[in-house]
Amino acid sequence: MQQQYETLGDLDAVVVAISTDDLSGASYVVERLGLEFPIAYDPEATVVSDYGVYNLLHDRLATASTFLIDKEGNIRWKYVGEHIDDRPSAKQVIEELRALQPG
Amino acid sequence: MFFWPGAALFLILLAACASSSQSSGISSGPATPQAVASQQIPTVPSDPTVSSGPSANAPATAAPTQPEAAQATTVPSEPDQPATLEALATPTSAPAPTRVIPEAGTATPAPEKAVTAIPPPTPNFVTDTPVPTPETLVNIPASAPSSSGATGSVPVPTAVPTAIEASAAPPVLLAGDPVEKAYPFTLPSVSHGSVSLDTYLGERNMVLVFYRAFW
Repeated sequence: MQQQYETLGDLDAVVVAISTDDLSGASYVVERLGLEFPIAYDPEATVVSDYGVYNLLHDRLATASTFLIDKEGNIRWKYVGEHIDDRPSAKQVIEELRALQPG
Repeated sequence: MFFWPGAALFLILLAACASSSQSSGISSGPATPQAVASQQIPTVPSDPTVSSGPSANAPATAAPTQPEAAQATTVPSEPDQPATLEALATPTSAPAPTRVIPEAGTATPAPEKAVTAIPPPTPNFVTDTPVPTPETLVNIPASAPSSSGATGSVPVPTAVPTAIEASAAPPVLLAGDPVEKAYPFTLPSVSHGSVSLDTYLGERNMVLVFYRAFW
């Protein structure tokens, strides 16, 4: 996703990642990987549960999933993985973002 | 023609009987005409070695003389006695076996049955397994894990596993599906302070990614 970050910027989109892991002491990892988008963490899984992707694989973790939210705050597209490695490709997300572009 | 040898043999037999009764000194009483007639009845069976009981047709007065007549037919002739045609007809080389007709009412021994050796049954581990009784169950030594760290003991689960919830992975949101509003959130970020949905509303689209772990 980081590799497609410039393309996402051109599509007037921002990437926000949320995990249930406590990443309060993992800033060095973000710096080492050079991630430019925000990495949030939800140890109590409150937001993860609001989006309905908590413990779907019976692992008490956030299930790998992607939501496209437009400027009006509507969920326009989502992809919820059926296993731990099931996630959409960056190309697929970009195509969905282009579908949101007016005109 | 054919009756002549038989009649001659019968007369010789009568003469032998009369001579033996006189020589033994048994007084059988005055012989009545009926007794004489009874002695003339051919009661000797075809097989001379078979001893038979008194004839049913014989009167009571002739009964004492019947065993003697039967004895004369069954016992081989003594060497001292004169040889008769009957004695010549009977083989004297070996005593003839006598057949004893069992009397009515006597139990005859049952023939022994052939006994076949039957192998002992093999143990059936399904049906022959002893059923544990409460006493045997109580006496089973407990294998509780010791505090000394002994190996080989299997820990017994003490907690009941919770039921697994039915999972239904939400499908991909397709075009035409009802639009749902995004849930507002404000979460701490690793390197950006805090992240809120409201920060980007009205300005930029958002790609919200939930992931299992950062590494």
